[in-house]
Amino acid sequence: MRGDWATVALLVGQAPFIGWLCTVVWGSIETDTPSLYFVMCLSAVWFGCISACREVVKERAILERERFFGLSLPAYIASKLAVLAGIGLVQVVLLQGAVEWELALKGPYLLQTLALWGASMCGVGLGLVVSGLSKAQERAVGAVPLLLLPQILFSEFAIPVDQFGDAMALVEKFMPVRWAFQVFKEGAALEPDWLAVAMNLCVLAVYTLGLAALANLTLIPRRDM
Amino acid sequence: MKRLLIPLAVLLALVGGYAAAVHFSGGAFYDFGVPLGGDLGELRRTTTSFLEDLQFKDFENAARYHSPDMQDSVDIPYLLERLFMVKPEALDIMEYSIILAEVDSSGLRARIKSRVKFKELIKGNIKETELMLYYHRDNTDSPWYMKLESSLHQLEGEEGKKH
Repeated sequence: MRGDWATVALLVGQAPFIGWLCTVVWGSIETDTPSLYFVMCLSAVWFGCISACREVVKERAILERERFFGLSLPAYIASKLAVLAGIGLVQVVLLQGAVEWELALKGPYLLQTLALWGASMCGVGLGLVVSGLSKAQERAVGAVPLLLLPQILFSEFAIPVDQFGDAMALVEKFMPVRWAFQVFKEGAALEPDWLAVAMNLCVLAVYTLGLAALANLTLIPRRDM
Repeated sequence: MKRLLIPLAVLLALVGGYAAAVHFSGGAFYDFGVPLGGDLGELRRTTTSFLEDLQFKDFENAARYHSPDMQDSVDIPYLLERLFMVKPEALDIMEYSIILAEVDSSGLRARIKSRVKFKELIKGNIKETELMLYYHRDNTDSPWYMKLESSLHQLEGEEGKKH
């Protein structure tokens, strides 16, 4: 990414732009709503996915060559996570800052940053898995909507929670957006359940680690380049 | 030396960027007590200070945000009851935040919307409400004064008009 400043600028610049769009929509009612929290969390997952989805596939040939010289796959994935975590943090801070510029969100500011960052890191994990499985950058980018659309479909914004069937309730729990959204919802409640907030943040962290491990697994089979 | 300068430059850029965001957003972000944000920043700080006075039941100080000629006649406990629908002795303001600050085109009138979380001590209910406080000033160099008292006056019909 160091040599590709245009891409970095695009990745970072989209965050305040989406935040500004949110203020245009929710600014008309001068207040925040749960749907705003959901859009912010979904955006954070999107940022992570789109930043990470090309990271492995674009340098797969180099990766395969380096593996002959003893490159450790967990170290490789960890290095990707470290760099993308930094970019993700900048993105979520800019997104939240752009929204807070016009609208004061209910709930603790730093907790919301943490939730968005957790969602972004889950997105990075998903993006790395897709990148590890893809044979071309175009396919990896094309797969991103397939990861994001279920986040909307299996959410309370598609149908009300009390109408969820057992299967849908189960699938919903595998959606990272759900856990970040719960942090926002709980933080904005009149009497927040801080234990539930901590649990939701832990789920996001565990989810990220699980996806990183999965991304590692996708790289184990050697590929002829 | 260069290794020291780069982190220092990054830190300065971050602090400068944050200060610029606080100033140009009119104090929408935490200002660490630095008077940034122009008129909007000042109004936000005044409103926050007023709400803090209400939280600690310092009614004498809370009246000082009105124009000097009104300060002695402002009945803050009565206004509080009208605002929150709770007797002042049963009101516990838990949290508050400013959610909107706006100055009109003349620069002489302003409105600040705040969100207040409070507890009704006798019933134990926790509630949240939004308050709109209005400010005015005579000219752009004058200080801002609150219009809480006048904006909460009981409406009386004008003589000679149908109601």
